[in-house]
Amino acid sequence: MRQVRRAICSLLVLGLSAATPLLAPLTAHAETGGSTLTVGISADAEDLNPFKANTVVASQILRLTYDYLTDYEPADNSTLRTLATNWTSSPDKLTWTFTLRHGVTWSDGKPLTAKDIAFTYRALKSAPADVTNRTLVKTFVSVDAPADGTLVIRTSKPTATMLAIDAPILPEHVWAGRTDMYTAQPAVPSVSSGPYVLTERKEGEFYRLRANPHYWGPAPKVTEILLRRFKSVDTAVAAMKRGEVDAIGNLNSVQFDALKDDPSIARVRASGLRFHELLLNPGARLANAAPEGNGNPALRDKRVRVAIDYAIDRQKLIDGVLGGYGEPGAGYLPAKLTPWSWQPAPADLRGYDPAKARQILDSLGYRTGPGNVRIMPGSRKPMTLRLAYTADHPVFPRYATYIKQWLGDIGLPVQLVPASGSQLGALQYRGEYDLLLSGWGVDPDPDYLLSIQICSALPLTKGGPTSSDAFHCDPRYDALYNQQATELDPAKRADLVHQAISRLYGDAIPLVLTNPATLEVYRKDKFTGFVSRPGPGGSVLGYWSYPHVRPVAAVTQAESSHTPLYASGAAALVALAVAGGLFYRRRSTRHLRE
Amino acid sequence: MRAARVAGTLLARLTGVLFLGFALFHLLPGDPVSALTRGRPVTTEDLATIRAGFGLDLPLWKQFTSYVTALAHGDLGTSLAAHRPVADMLAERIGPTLLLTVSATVLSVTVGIATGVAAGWRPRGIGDRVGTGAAIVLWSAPTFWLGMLLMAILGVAAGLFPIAGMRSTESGGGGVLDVAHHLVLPCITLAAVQYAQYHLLIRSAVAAERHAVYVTLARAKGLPDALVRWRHAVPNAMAPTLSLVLTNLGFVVSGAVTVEAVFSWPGLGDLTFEALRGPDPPVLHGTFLLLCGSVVTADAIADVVLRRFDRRGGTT
Repeated sequence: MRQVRRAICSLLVLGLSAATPLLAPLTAHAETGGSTLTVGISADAEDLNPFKANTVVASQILRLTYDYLTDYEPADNSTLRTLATNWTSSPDKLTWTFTLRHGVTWSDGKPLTAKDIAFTYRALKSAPADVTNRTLVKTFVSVDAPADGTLVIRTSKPTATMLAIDAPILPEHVWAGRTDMYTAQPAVPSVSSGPYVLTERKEGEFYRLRANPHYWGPAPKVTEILLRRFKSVDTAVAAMKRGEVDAIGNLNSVQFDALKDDPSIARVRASGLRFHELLLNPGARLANAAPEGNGNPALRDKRVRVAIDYAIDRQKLIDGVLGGYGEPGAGYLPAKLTPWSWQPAPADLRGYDPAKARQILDSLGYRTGPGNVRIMPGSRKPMTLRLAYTADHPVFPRYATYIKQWLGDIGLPVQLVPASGSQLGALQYRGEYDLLLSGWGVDPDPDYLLSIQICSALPLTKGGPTSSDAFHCDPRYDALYNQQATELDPAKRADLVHQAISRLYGDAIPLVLTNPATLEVYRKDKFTGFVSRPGPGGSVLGYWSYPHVRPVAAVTQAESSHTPLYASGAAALVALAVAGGLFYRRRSTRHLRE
Repeated sequence: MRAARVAGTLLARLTGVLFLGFALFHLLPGDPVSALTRGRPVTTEDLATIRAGFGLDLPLWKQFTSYVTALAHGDLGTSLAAHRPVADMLAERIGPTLLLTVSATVLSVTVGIATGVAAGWRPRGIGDRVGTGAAIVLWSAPTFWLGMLLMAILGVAAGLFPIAGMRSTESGGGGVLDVAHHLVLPCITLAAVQYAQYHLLIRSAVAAERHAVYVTLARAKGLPDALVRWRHAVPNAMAPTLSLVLTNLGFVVSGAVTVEAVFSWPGLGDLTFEALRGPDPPVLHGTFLLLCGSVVTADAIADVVLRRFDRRGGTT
């Protein structure tokens, strides 16, 4: 027995001796210095199939690892020449000829030619319905590669988004002939042509990207990007303080403010390319005009919707809910999204004016009954509006509380309907709401966000799915939308977009409440060179920025060098406790041995 | 005969779990297709086609028949969001969850029994008051709060332990000691919350046994106090604690959702949470089957083991 215990103690000592070198990975980050940029992410990529991927993280990874025919200039969202260096369209605007960059190779060393691009777009065109990117090529009639450096695309009608085909270009020699093309995940390491190559993937943990030595552009200064998953931003912030994370996006105002005194951390308040909106049910209906849902009939009157808009104090929402980090919303697209954004002139702006809201309702015959509750003309029933919102997002419940108070003040009591994200989606597409809080992020091209307001987005069948945002249907808006979709002149297209948004503002169905700022932080003592998009004051954490980021020279890494010492110390304490236990046990049973 | 009865009960319960899980997640409001395609350029016609492709337009009984048929062939379906086999996703996540929950269970049982025996041997003494008080306080503490507290003190301020993830993200990370180092805080958090139930149970049992005749006899023989306690009193006080341990074994798969969230531990809790947000019914079915199945199976095992262990009702 004694020998056994001696053996255990010896093993413990040996284990402790072995522990210190095995803990070496804990300090590897410090040793590799700034060459690894670790970015905290709050969700998984889920699906990285290049045809299907649609999460934010997956899009970032695809943008960093693959090339696209064109990209967006970070300064102003204009077209950036990536694979395509030049292009012309025929006089009838139906044939586009692209000249491609010479000398581009895949990460396996094989050349990237027009055949790869043609293969990708043809594969998209023939993809099943669940490959949502296929709508990017819906007007394509043919895609040809007459030469390695020339791509010719023929379309069925003029297509304004020809320079915004947001689909990654895939290597034909890897993907052609695969029966699982639309479901397969890219191999690791991936064969791609972007500035980075995906080299490791651990779902729920991290994605590792290494610089692509075959990249045609300037070599990235940061040799590795690690997208590390955190299930809460609070944990990510704590990890940043420990030096484990270099950049985090999408903080809330409290987390952002808490870092203001840390001299090693740069805080970026990026002008919002997002908006939060209050949807008013205008009388939901199907595409065949049959009624859908159970929205309050009072909201079918545009003037009532306008009155509600006057009752909302947007600045109060920004100060009280967003911690001051945001801009009041008005026009459908954020002001930062040039050249597409349109904002009402000051004289047309519906600012906070509850007296005017009351006046409008009074003039429409909405008399006030007991308890200051209005009654709809022709009805005896006091009005109540249901406000649906998701409780999954911390901002919306607080918006709802303010809105309830303001609408109550003008005699329109509000019943709050909190829901999960998926529940809210069901209420939304079935039209089973009066008021509903929602929000969107904005792409550089406005086509998609405009498309969710057209009549053909309405549901086809009762309870059926819809891509409509708020059951908006206005033939004149549709005409403007269709014109902009075929207008190739950017200035003329922008004018058409402005007219469409102007009509949308007049209809007061989606009321844009705020453009929340995107709050980002990064370790300025370790990295510099971040690029903001769009232009100064934009977001700095994204695929457009990482290849330009570079480590700050001579970063002191002493801070994390204590970790293995602490760990070894803790291990030693555990070993001492175990050894002490054994010793105590030997003593307590000494009488038996004796 | 007894084994057949236990197996029959187990089968019936698992069938109930199957029905309940399917009904539960198909009655959840929300359209997975709309959620999955939000923000993507997709038309209303495409949405209808995608729904049909997933079989979501079929009557519920047809969806159930297809599901059961596939399950009989070992196919748990394919995730709507990740487009990957659910079985693969579960296999990836169950290892980290088991590592965390089993180690925390071992720790909490060990600590709970050690402190509970000490407290029960001298009830109302200072050790009992302090030990039992601490156990009840920790049992009452919200798990996420305790986790954040330990993270702030031991992780951020002292820098002793990693605060997130299961391994170091640098190349070469993921060795045994590296994972063990990452395991410390989540394991302590989970064990700190759980150990009170073992502490309180064994404390009461030991306090009841300490005046038993056989204990007095052992003392009269001149045996040292520790020996009387551990060799005589504790074995007789262990039955209810063992019962609790075995019953709790079923929850080790599902018991760490909050801790996984706080420490970004890549386990089943995270997978379930993300699937609920979708919603992603095939993944929800898979996790529900696994979580409920493990509880039901552990219960059956406990039933068998306890009857073998506890001979009071037997023929000896």
